[in-house]
Amino acid sequence: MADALLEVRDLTVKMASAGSPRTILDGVSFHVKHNEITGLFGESGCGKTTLALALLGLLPEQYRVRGSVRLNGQELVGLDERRMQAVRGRTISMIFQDPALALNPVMRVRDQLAEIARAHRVEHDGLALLASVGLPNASRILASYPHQLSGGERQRVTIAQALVCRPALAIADEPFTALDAPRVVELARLFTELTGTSFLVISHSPGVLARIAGRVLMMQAGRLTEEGPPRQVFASLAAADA
Amino acid sequence: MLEVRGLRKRFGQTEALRGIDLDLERGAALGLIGGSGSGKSTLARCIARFERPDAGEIRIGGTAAYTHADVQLIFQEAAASLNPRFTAEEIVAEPLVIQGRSGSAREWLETVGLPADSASKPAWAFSGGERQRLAIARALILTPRLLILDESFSGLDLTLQAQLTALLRDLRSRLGLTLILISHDLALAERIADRIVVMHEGVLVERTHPAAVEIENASRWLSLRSALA
Repeated sequence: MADALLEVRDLTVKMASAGSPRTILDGVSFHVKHNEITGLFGESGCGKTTLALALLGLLPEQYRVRGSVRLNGQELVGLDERRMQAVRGRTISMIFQDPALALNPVMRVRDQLAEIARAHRVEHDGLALLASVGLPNASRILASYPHQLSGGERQRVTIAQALVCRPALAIADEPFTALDAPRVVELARLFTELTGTSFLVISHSPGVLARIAGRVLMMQAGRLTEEGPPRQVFASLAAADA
Repeated sequence: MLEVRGLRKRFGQTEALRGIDLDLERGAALGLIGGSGSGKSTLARCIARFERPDAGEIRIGGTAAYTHADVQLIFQEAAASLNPRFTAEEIVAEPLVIQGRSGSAREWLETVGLPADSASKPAWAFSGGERQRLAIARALILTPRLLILDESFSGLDLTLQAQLTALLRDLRSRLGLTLILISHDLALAERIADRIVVMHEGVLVERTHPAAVEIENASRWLSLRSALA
């Protein structure tokens, strides 16, 4: 795929266990294009989060990763931790499910954003960054601690964190779970408005992915079973939901 | 069966409940919808006697002197409310022990659709959906007059939600359960409840209130069918 930002080929993840190793991901292949939102849909326990962590090189030692993950042409599988650190955050970043766990409770938002910029040696403009994720009252938020923010504001701050380095790809793992329905709608729209970064959005909500993703990957028991436009992939689910 | 009159509750500067009136018939299922911070959980906690209201009255079966055993509340995080060192049977039987009553935990495990061999398994060996079934069995073993589910299906995928929805419908018809289902997902609540009320800033509002319309629109936006239409 010539214009692919991320190209995953035959990715297999096995976990060492007392008996024979357990296969968590089984020959997963897909790609993510530049400036595209790709949805990853599947039920609890099907391997979505393992896939995200494998892409970021964040799986614990007892996991064995085989296959190929190429980001902008660079092979990530087998990259040593020092080189992977340079890729992580700067080229590929992660937005976690629970902002309460992703934010440091004793640091103001301003300092949390600055810390990331400092670690990756990049310039950043906190006010502009927060405005870009739909937080208009940015100066109040920069001066706030996480507990002083609403759930929706906290989730947007974690997205801002992931975008500090303007990464080419951001992986969002169930970013909507902690939000009520109106906030889910606002946040889903935000993903479609952010340009310059491709998103891999992991969700078990087909309604949200159908609205925002250009393409959806359907995962079942560690394998990708379908891939295509949401309308096509979700057609059978929509019939069942009716 | 349930009568709530003029219920008020304040936490510091925040008025969580600002005069709630609510009636529920025996065997009815009520969907209580509202955004985060609208006061839904405070109302549930007052009804279940986990909070003491500042003003107002709650009656169940005509009496204000009802007990914890009459109202059972199931929380969002079922896993967090189960003792990890107990077996399924011990978890479900615990309320009986506390209340000094007798009953069969195994029968209730079967009623909520858990396999017979699950009685001796520890809590951590169950999946998310199975833990919710355990929490439902534990809540029902005291045969409460009212069961309140507070965002109990949040974070579960569609298949598990559908299975638990079917279980609740079945339990309602078999046991004549009276239910309050608290959710911010209107579509989910409509599948179980026969009446929906919307809460906004501590009061119950009409379905035509802007906050209710916002929730309804958001729910429609999230529905797969409308997304593919």
